[in-house]
Amino acid sequence: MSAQPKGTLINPMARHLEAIGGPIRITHAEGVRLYDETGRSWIDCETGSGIHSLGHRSCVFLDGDELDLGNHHLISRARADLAWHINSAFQIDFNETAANRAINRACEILRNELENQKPDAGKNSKQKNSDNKRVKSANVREETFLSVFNVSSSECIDSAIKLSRGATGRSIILSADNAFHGCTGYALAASAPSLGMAIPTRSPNFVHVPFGSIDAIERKLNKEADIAAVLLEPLAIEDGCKTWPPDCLRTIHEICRERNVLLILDESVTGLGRCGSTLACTQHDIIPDILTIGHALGGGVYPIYATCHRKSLDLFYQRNPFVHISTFGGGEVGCMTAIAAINDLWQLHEKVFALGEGFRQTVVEIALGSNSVVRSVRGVGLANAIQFCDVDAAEAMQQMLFDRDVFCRAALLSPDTLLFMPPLNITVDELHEVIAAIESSLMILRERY
Amino acid sequence: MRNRRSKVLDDFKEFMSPGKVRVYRRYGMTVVMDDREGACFHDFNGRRFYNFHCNGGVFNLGHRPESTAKALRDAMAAKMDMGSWCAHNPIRERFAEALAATMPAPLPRVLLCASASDAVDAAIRLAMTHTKRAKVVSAHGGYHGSSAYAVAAGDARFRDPVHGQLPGFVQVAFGDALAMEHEIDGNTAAVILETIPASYGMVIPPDDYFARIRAACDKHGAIFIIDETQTGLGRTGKLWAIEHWGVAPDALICGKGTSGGYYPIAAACFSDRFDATLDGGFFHYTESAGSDLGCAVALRVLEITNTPEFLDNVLGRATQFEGWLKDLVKRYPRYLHGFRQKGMFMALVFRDEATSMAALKSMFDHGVYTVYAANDKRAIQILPPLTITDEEYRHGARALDDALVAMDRLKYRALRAILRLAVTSPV
Repeated sequence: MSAQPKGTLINPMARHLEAIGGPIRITHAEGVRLYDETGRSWIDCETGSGIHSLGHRSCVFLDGDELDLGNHHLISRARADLAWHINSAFQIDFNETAANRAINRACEILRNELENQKPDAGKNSKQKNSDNKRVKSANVREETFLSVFNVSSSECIDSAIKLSRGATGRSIILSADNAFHGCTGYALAASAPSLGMAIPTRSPNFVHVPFGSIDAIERKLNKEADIAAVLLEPLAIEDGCKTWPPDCLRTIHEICRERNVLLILDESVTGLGRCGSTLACTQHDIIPDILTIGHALGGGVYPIYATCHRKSLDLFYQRNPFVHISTFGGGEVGCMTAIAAINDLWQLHEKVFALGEGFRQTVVEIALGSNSVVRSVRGVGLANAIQFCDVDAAEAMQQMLFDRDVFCRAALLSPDTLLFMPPLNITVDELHEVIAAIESSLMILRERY
Repeated sequence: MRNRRSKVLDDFKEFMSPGKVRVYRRYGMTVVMDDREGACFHDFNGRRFYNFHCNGGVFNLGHRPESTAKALRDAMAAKMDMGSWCAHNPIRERFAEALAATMPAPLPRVLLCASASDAVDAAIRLAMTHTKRAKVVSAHGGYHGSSAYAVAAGDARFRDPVHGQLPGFVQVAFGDALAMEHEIDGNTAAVILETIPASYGMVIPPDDYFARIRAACDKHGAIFIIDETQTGLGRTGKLWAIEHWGVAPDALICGKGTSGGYYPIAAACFSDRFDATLDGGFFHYTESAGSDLGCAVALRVLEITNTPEFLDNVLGRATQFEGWLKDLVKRYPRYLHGFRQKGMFMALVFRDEATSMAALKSMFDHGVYTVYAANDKRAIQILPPLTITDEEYRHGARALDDALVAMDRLKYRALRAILRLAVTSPV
């Protein structure tokens, strides 16, 4: 064999971070901190897009168990256990939502009844009855969710899209124009068109609608009969954690249901506690037909992701049980870690919610005097973003944060926005360090602008 | 144990795949993997199986190989974890260097991926972006994975149920250089092929096949991608199977074996002809790709497999298998049509689908686990671990032999007859 040229990694993001002085040569990590060869450390506010939601090295695997990857075709105890845990975590989340919903509905009924006692009311009685029915149905257990395991969030999206097309017999996928679902064929096609690069690489049958617009989705659904599914993120992370207007997702869900179009939610980042609940969609009071979860599932040590679908959709897989093959999907050694991760993440929900609120409030206060530099502070739970007046300001800020031992990155689709997604078990003190770094950086940035 | 096993079956049915459980039950082929070591695994009910499929190469080094387990434990002791997709742990660079150094051609640009499907999608997209063309030519009977482009480039069997056809993706017969030359034109972005398609029953292409495709690609400026997911890492007696044909691809995909049996990791290696595109804004971000721990494992796999001793051992073992396969074909002409082999990449070809299916069931009943080639069900894949010991070989081969003897029994004769009427079966 002839002498080969030296192999180098393809990773433009790492190269970009290196160019602006970021820490790219991480040798090891522990807790919330990343370390390089010299022993210098950074607080990890990037966490591999949420992979290290439990911090670094809080999860172990291969610890005395007798497993390996297992066989992707065969029936597996580890995978069945994990699928059971995933469904249970979902059901608990759904039930909490159902309980909340029941309380809300009960309050509404009470209000209606009070209104009805007024002499001019009475025509609302029909409404009242239907409300009564909904309270009852809210107590009914939700449908079981079945899991199909994969090794990356983008493959989860690909398999979800395959399922939606196979199950409905239709082919068009509607998605938001500011989404990032991944880089495999369908996932990229469903992502923001600006990411698509060369035209020939686009898959057909993908239609984009403006983020946050119910009307656009409704119009498309009215126009096209061939729509298989609407694919959305509960929080547009890579567009700088843009949140949906209240009730928007619920309305979309209802529209989809009326037309028998499936709703797929990409919860690979937002799921498993990042937003303060097992699923971010339950905060919007919806339960989609297909869900993808995953970054946090492997506890930061093992790639394991799941596409979860309602049992009623499983008919397609029953007809084609071996149609989606992922050799590495749900590797058995990773399953035990994932079960532990689900349980650990589960205990962090309230804390995540409180820390997130605190983070945003404090940053808003800090930024108050610097309106011209900071445009907005957004997020849910510990998925947060600070938008700056322009890309240069964001980059300058990022550099200063690197100098102050905080590792973060810009959102892929809005480079003027920095994302802050620390481990969910970050302590208050550690979060204060981040906030202090933001504060002192902002002071310098303000002087420059 | 039995209760635990039926609980697993119930849970799997309830929370994962009722379809799979039903198919396995229908054929009496339910197996729930319990403990495992080397070439064997046990079911929870105590039954032992010789693994003659190894997930297509995942268990090239056997089940739970101590070598890669130690690499993982060492990496964890060194406080590594998955790392971040936007940072470089030096171990990622070390793996990239080591992998590029083994390539059969200068392919120095390394993209770490979570799975081979991921790598295939990246390679096809890079080829499209680089050439600004949309046509992708592949072979009937191929299997490249389960992501969008991988499905579109694969056989119709996995493509049609999910509406996976994409414009520009065309397939020609595998091994037919003329058909390929005919199809490659000025609109062709890429040709993607497995060196030897496992899902098509290990069809060995003619000696001049890849050279002619290389020439056609050069003539029209198309990219030649070779998928070594199953054939790579020593399976055929050379580190990369394409070395047998002495042809240099523009991109090479590897996976499965890279996992060392433990950890999902794959990679795509590209030639420097893509430099301008790669440096000009092309990206393929997969958050879970090329994890630091995965690189530690894959690096160890390379250290083990890329040695003359290891490859010689594979060839020696392959000779042993060749003699045995020849003997089988001679002794069971009623069932067997022949065999195909390149090193330890082997398939038994049966007379028809019903026979191969009945044989698969008989092998299962006799303690040999393998699968048929999904895109040509007459072929049954024979992919034991490359590290199989003499004793494991003796016992495994004996069990498979017994399985073929048993084909004369009423049970399997009846099964064959039924299957002839309606062929549907597990993968």
